[in-house]
Amino acid sequence: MTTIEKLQNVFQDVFDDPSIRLTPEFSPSFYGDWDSLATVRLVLSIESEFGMRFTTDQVAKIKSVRDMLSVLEPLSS
Amino acid sequence: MAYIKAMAYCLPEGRLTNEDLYLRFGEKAVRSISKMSGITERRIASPGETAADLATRAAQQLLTEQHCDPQSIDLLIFTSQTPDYQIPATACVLHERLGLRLNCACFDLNQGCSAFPYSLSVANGLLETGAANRALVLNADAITQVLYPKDRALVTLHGDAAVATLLDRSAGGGRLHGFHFGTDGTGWKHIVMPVSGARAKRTADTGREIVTDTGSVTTAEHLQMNGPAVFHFSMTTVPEAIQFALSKWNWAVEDCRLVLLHQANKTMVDMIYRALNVPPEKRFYFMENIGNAAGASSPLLLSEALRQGKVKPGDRLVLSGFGNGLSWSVAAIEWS
Repeated sequence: MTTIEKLQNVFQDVFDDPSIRLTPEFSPSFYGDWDSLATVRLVLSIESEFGMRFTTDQVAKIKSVRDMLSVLEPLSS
Repeated sequence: MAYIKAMAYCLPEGRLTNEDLYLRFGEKAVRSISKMSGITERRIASPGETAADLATRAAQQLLTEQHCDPQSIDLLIFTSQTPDYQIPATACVLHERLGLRLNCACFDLNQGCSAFPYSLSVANGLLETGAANRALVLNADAITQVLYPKDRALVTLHGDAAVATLLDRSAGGGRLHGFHFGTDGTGWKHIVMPVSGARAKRTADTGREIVTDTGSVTTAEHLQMNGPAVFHFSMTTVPEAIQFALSKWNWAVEDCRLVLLHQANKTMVDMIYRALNVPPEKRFYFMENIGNAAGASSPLLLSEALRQGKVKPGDRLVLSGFGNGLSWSVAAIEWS
């Protein structure tokens, strides 16, 4: 499973929406329910699912799936 | 170690309800934020009413209730991020208002939501060394007055308050058992008023409305917060800090009557409680009809717990504040 596929599972679970299909461009402007609290829920779920911890600075800069992938992909390579 | 002898608080008369905010932000958004925050009403200072005004009333109430002669106070600490003036220290203004004696140390502490353990520990140090005999600690913020009215994330959370705490070295009351402090300065920009001091001056442009990275509508002259970053910091740092402090004192959550947390919002407080395995009977909240009172929040919580008779002799309390800086603090208090 690729990183983005694994991330997609997290998004589907957090938003309880199996129709979500992630691309790097996926962002709050694409998906209305993705507000700042949802970012927190996503971050905590990703940390649990991927067994890692974001830095607070990395969380501050999350504006899209691309920003998450830039942290997660180097961990899987 | 010094003892907390008594506390009193002042809430402003102004009330801002969820219904008041429907027109500004929309009912759906306000309901959604309120469900997360657990806050349905905020006590807010009136235009022109400052943290020092609230602190004056809290102090006068405390001194009256305790039959305490203002002339017996020889240390006044005003802890706030919304002082009356940049110069002089607002503590000096309060010195005049409260009629304190000339031989009285007065100064301000500038600290945010982690303020209460900081101010207690400084008072404790001065009392312990004999530099002072009776201390009045005032924790007050009128944070709503530095919020941009269209900032949905902050306006829906915050309220204003002031708390007065009387301390001395005589036995009886809340014995200050220990303190633990921490700072992550790399995160200072996550809660900031960019144009508020010497670093950046007000210009015609700084009052212009902007939209931040997290979608908040504000200006450079108002308080700004990166909510996800601060939430993440609180979740990852605070439980570890409290655990570290407890182990340093050889205490455990099971030994404490109450675990008191800065009332940032109910979701965050509950997540920290869960991370620490704090059972429901050791949890205590005081924000639903108050709001997040910033630096006054955690002393307000303790003061209300005392008022409700939740603290008895022999009880151990652990109290934690956390917020801008990024800064965190933990205090251990043992009641006798």
